[in-house]
Amino acid sequence: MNKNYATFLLAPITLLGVMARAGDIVVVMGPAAIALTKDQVASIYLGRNNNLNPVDLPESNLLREAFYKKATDRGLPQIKAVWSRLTFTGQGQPPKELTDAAAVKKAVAADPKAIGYIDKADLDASVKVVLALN
Amino acid sequence: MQGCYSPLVPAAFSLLLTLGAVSAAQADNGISTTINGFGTIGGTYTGDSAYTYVHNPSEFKATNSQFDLGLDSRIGVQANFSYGTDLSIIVEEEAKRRGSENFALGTEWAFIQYTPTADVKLRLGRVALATFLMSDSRDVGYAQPWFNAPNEMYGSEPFETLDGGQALWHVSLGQIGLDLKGAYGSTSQAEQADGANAGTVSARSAYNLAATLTYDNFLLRVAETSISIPLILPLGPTTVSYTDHDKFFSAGFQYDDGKAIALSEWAKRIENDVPLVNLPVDMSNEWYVAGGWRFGKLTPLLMYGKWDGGLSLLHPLETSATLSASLRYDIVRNVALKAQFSRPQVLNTTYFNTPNYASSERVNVISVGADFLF
Repeated sequence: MNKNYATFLLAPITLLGVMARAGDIVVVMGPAAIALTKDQVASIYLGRNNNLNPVDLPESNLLREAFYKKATDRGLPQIKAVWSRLTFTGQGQPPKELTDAAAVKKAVAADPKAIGYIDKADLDASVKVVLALN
Repeated sequence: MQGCYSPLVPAAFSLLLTLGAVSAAQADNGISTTINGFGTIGGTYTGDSAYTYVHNPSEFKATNSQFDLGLDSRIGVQANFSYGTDLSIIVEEEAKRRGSENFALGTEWAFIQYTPTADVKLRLGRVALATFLMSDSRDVGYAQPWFNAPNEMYGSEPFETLDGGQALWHVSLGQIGLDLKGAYGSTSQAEQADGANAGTVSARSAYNLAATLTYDNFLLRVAETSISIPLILPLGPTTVSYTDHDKFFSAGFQYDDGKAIALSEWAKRIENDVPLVNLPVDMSNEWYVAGGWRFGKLTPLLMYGKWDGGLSLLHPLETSATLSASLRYDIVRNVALKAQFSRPQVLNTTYFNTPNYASSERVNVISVGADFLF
């Protein structure tokens, strides 16, 4: 089979795989955490509940936009607007931005009040899923 | 406005430089620094040069039929220096039109904050005077759905800051959040008369109390603000000295589910009568409703504001309503383009500092600009 032709045929399958992965987001905390509802997670990431310390992935990571859409029904500009209002009224700072899933897992495993989100494929025993966003 | 005349400005800059240097040098010793910035480049013009638009009647330099970038453009930087989890210093400097200067730097905030628990904050220094729902974030255009907040409400309170203390308490009851705020201090404000500097109005005593309830996508806020200003008013051949107690009672509502956005506020302004005249300096009822819908990156919003000015020394018994439309376009990361169109009546003192009480004519007020974060 011609290599270019094979690439052409496989492209939609690869794309479907990426889309499926983007749909599998898990919200994680330390091993002792209990399950949370979507509303509770939204409340934390919209700055309405300061009992937990949320962490974020970089804006360049596509998982970030997908997470906010699924968890809060809001796009990134709206999230920026919400946090800029909180920041410039002294009510809070936006979630700390970490470099990747490994950094998120390390942060939530070390702090029982930390909460983050990662791709389900990056899940391991160091963290516990408190909410699955499909 | 008070910031540009205050000795707090050089003090705050020294503080920024000193603490910035200290935190840079001691980043590993428990001090962390966060810097955030916001700004707006934009302007407003009116359809008739006879009527000059202002955000509030105390502003010196209004804009007329010439597009004016000076009235709405501003840039601000906030620095947050945290030592451990319970002590921080927050300073916010902002350059904008102040008095007769187009871009004068002023200290919006400069306070030390002690956080004894995650839900309690105690502040000492210069804090925001949050008379209305958006008062403390009004200049952060990116955080707002509109370009300019409804003048009927936000044009009635020129005071922006308090020098004193503030306590904040957050209570979480499941999905319900309750925020209580109380602030007390002094404040001052440069005033204009016929476009010229009419001196600084100072209030030795002012307070703001606010309670905000949040549930899911709903927010409800009630607040009371009182500013006591010693005044000496000319009265014919003599003068009268008294203390003006300027009070606002307000209630605000917001709903935002990510698609639909609805806002409404109501306020009642009461001032005591000037002796011998038996009239207050100013009094009014004001309210607005606003509703919009997000279509991807576009957010159109309609606003309807009503201002009922009671008989007072500043204006006759007047009522006026204004319909406005605004459009927000989140063009790229951290930048939102906005346009706004209003048709207020020329007698409306919350829009024009050259009102014509004898006419009910309407004039176009058009604003365009870009709000950004950095």
